Amino acid sequence: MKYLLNIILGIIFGLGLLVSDFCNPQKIGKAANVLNEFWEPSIPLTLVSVAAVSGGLFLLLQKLEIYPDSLVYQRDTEKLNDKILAGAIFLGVGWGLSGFTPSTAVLNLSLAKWETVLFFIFMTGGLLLGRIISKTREN
Amino acid sequence: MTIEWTFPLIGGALIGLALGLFIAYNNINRGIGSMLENVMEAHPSVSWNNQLLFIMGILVSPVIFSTFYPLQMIQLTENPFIIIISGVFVGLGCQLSGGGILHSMSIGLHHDRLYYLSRGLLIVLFAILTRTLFRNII
Repeated sequence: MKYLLNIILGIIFGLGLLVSDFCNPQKIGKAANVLNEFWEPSIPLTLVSVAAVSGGLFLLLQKLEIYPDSLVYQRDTEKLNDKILAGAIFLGVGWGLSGFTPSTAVLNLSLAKWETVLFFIFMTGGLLLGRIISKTREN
Repeated sequence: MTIEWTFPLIGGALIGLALGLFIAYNNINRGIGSMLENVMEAHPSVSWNNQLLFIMGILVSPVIFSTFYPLQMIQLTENPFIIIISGVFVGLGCQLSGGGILHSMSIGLHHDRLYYLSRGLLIVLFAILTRTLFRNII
């Protein structure tokens, strides 16, 4: 049952990406190019909707006292430091260039286009590179 | 210009609901990039199979969607140099910052000190700067 639920949640997540068109790099490009006369407001609307719905869900869980432990604030580790800032800048630049995030890259893999496969391979390489940098910093 | 409100809001609600329920149900605070990284590890966390199933769900969702609506052709840039650079940047950035844009936004509004929201807004800011510079100035 647990396995089935996780797959269903993944499907709902994917359907959300498709319904909002968040998985479309051209739409991301139009939304991020704020000087464009055909500016695309649907992406900011999607992000606001994501934040509002999950925010409401977590608030409800807090009231029902079934709040997940993994979300309890970790004062020592969860703060903006140079590593997080560098990561956010890299991610923002990469997203701005291609219009893909990890989730949209995964979703678009099923369409089997060479551009997406190439992006996915190098994104995986970037994840591994990030891990090497993180481990080097720790030592 | 008429703004299409419905689909972005419904889609965002589905994304927020699915990721929020996944985080709550499995007690895992991760975005898709971190899940991918965890699944590929030699010694992944105990819940790696749940994360893999969630990713598989995302992979099959276009098949289900296409039974109700025709899938739009999604066009990524054909410049391999941009694809490679942006792929590395997205992967590297996701690992260093500990999550992507959708993870940051879904945790953002309720979390103490709004750490995740600031991370998400920073990602958006740099995406806007990059795209705007790239399209209008460079």
